[in-house]
Amino acid sequence: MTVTRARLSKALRCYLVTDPGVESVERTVEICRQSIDGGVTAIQLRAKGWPDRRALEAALALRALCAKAGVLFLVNDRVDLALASDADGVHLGVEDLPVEVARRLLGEEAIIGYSPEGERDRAEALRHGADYLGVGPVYATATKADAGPALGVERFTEIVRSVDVPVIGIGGLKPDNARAVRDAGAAGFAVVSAIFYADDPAAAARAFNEVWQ
Amino acid sequence: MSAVPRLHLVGPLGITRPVDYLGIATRAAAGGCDAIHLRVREMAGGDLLRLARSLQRELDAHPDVMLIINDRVDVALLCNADGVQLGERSFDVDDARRLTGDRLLIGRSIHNVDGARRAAEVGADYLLAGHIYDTPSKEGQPGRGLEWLAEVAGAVEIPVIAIGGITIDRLPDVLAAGAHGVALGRELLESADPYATSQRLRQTIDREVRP
Repeated sequence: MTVTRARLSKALRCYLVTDPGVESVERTVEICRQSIDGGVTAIQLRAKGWPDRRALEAALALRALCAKAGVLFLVNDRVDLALASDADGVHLGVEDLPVEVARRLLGEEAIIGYSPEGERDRAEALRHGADYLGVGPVYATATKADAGPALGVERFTEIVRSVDVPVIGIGGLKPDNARAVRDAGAAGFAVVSAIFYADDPAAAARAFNEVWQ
Repeated sequence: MSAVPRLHLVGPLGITRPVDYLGIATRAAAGGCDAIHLRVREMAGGDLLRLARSLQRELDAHPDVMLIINDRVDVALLCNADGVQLGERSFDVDDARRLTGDRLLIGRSIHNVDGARRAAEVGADYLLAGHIYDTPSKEGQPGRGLEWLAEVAGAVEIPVIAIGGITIDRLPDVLAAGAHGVALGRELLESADPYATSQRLRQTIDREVRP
C-alpha cells in the first residue's frame, strides 16, 4: 500500500483510468509509465473482458510502477485482483460488489471509490464507507456509451458541495474544460481517452496538471 | 479440507437462465450431486454474488453439497463457498491460494497432461479434465478419450474429475479409467428430470467406487 487515506485527496488530482481496448499488458504499462512522468497521481486498472491471468500480470506491473512513483493504484471492480496485486484499493460501480461487502475482504485501510448513479445511490455508498466518489459525466463523452446524459458543471458543483468525501469529475474532460472541475471544488479529475490515447501521454498529463496549478 | 466431491453439476453456462439454474441445481443436489458449480459468463460481481447467495439458500437443505464458484475468488470468499474453479485464463492456482488459504478447495480445469502436472505441483486440490467425449459444447474438437483420461489420472496424485459428454452408460468406463468423479453441464442442464438423472449417476458411482 503506497497511499493512505490521509493523502487521498491529493492523490486523486490527476487520475488515469486504463482502457481494456488496449489489450497488450506491455502497452498498457508503458502508457501508464509515460503518464506518470507527466504527473498522473492515480491509476485505475480497468481490465473488463480480459482473462484474469492477463489482468493480474498487468496489475502486478502497475503495482510496482505506482509504488515506485508514489502513485495511487486502484483496480476496477475486481476485489480479488486488488488483493492479489496488493493494490491500494478498488473502484466500484452500481453493478459491482457492494462497497460494504468489498470492504470485508479488503480491510479498513483500503481505498474504495464508487461511481454512484443518482442521489439515493450516492448517499448509500457514503453510508457504507466509500472513500471517494467518481461523479459524471461532467461533459458528454464517447468513451462510455452507457454513461448517461452529461450532468453539466452546475449540477456537478452541487454534488461536490453536498458530500464530505473527495470527488473526482469524469466524462469528456480535456485540458481546456477541466478548470471548471477544479473550480467546482473537486479533488481531481479522471480521464481515459484524453491521456490513454494521446500521442504523447506525458504531455497530455502535463497539460491537465497545468490547469490544476 | 473436505473430501473432493464425485458428482459435479456445472452451470448455467448460458444454456439455462440463471433463475432456472437454481431449480435444476436444487433437484440435482437432491438426487445426489455433491458439488454445484456456478459458472456464468460476463456477469457483474454484484449480480454474481446475489445469484451465489440464492443458490446457497436453495441448497440449505443439502449441507453436504459443495458450492464452487468459477473464476471469481472474491465472490467465492464473500459467499463462503466451498471452492473455486480456475481455468487456463484464470488466476494461477498459487495466486488464488494466497487469497483463500485452506478455506476453499481449488479446482483447476486442464486440457493436457503437462497442464495437469503443473496444476498439481502448484497445489490444486483436484483437476477437471476434459473434454473426454465429443460434446456440442466443444463443436469441432474431438473428445480426448479414455486413454487420455487414464494418462492424466496416472500423472497426478490428486483426484481427477472427468468432464465432457459424460452419460450414465459411459460412467463405468470413465471411473475405470481412473476418474475420481465426473462433472456434467449440458447433459444435466438439459435433462428432462435432473433429479432422476443425478440419482442414477450417483447410484452408479456408489456401486463402482468402493470405499
